[in-house]
Amino acid sequence: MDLLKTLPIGLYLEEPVTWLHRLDPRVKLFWLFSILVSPILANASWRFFLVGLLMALTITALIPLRVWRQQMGWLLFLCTMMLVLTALLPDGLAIAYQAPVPSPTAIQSIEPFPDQFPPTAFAVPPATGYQYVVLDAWRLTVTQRSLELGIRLSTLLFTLIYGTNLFLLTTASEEVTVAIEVLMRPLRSLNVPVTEIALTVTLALRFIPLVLEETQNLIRSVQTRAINWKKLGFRGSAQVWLAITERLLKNLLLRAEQTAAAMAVRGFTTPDTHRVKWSELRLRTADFLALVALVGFWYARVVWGGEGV
Amino acid sequence: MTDHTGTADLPPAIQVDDVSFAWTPTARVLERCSLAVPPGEFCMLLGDNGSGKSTLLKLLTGLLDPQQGQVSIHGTFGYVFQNPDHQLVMPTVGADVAFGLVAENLPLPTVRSRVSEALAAVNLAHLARRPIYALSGGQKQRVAIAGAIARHCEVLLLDEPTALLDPDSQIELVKLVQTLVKERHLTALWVTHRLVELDYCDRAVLLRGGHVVREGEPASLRQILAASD
Ligand SMILES: Nc1ncnc2c1ncn2[C@@H]1O[C@H](COP(=O)(O)OP(=O)(O)OP(=O)(O)O)[C@@H](O)[C@H]1O
Ligand SMILES: [Mg+2]
Repeated sequence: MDLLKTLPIGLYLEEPVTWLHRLDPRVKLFWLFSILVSPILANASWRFFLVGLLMALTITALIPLRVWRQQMGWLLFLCTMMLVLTALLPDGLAIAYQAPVPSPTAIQSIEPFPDQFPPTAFAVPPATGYQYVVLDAWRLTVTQRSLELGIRLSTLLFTLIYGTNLFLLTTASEEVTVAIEVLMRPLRSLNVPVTEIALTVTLALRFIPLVLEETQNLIRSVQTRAINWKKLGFRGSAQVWLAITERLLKNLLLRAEQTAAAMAVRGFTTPDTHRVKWSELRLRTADFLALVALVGFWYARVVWGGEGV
Repeated sequence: MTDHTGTADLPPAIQVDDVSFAWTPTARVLERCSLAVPPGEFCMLLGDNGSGKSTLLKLLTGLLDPQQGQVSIHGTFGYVFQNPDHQLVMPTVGADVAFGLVAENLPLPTVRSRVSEALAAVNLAHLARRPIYALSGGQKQRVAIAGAIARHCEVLLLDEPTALLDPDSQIELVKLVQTLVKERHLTALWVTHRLVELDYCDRAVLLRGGHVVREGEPASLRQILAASD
């Protein structure tokens, strides 16, 4: 179980119940979708706004520090690394950078100075402070393009991972699937087995911890046997790992069989009618407010958040 | 026992008739085994490890088919597996208990009250929203039991439901099933190794060598078992 408890993302936070928990899962799903989709073709400020928004949600929901310190820690590290590396690495434009206009000293060195150019020919508009090369120190070069790319990647990574994580943190697994089921219901007219899909996903969500648990057990069993890997050599080690993988697959199939048996005796009906009623889907005032805010969110995205705005 | 005399002429709620079963062709687990539990009785099933208790229960639920003989259960049944990990199928506690209620097609408020009621009965009301993987072994076992009693079925089959519980919860659970049997007029078949539980049942049955070798008042069976140890 250790593997599970240390797994930093995708875990449901059962206590304390925050205002994010109380929102209707469908509303949260719309918000998640918006947060994941709106960075497409958005400018850098919008991306930073999303990061700030996610932080603000976490803080206003009073999600305990112990939960997000653990997650935020490595995620921020990852994103910062991403930003720094992408900014420093060559930006992919195979150009030797040079200043856009010949500098006065460079012009002076031209001998003889061509007659056909009157001295006013170089009267360009005053420089704007824009520089393609943002930083050029020692052998490190940060350009506009690599910086932009770095910001794009790191904020996108943060928004994707943390947005999803915040959703899963405040939404129980079966609420997620119920919400998906309800939202997919129109597809039923196209003969899509919506209930079956939702049930399969729910069962899979229960199965993931089992897979981790089995893996953990097998790893432990290998550890306690004190295998001398050096002596085994490459072939020997490969064989051991193959045997372990086989064992894992066998155990998992057995687990699946047991689950099927349990479902059968616990009153399973048929795949497309077995809709477990448990989560309440009800739009309250807070949900309507959240939906109104979502409209505002998209308005802002279209008006201010677009690229080139 | 006197209040059961009136039901003696009713067909048994649980019936095992001359059943044989073998997992492998060479080793028979059950050999012409017969057992009948009248409705409204709380019956305990004893036997050594590997004597075939779990196999018998699986035959009763229909998970296995007898190679000879017949089994029947009168009415709907709930089954608690020996290992609770094998039977919890939904990701969180409340949803798992609600899993078995789908067939009854109840409205959501009824489902929720049934689930809370069942969870309260096993002292887990506060954990309804917890993911299954974050439960202790004993808590999983209670969820499994809650899943069975939430269904309001007529017959309960419980395979060592107290194996992972602490002594206090163990006695609490036996008492709970005893009350359920009395109040809802259920029939329960309870597998156990723990002799203290015998005090709460109506009748006990000992499985050995593939069939029932002893059955009767719990006190007399207890004496026999204590003497043989
Ligand atoms: N899936 C299986 N495949 C093969 N043999 C099995 C299987 N399950 C059980 N057996 C065998 O059947 C016999 C009876 O097992 P069973 O689980 O019914 O015993 P039990 O009385 O429930 O024991 P315990 O008190 O340990 O739970 C054992 O010898 C066991 O090895
Ligand atoms: Mg058993």
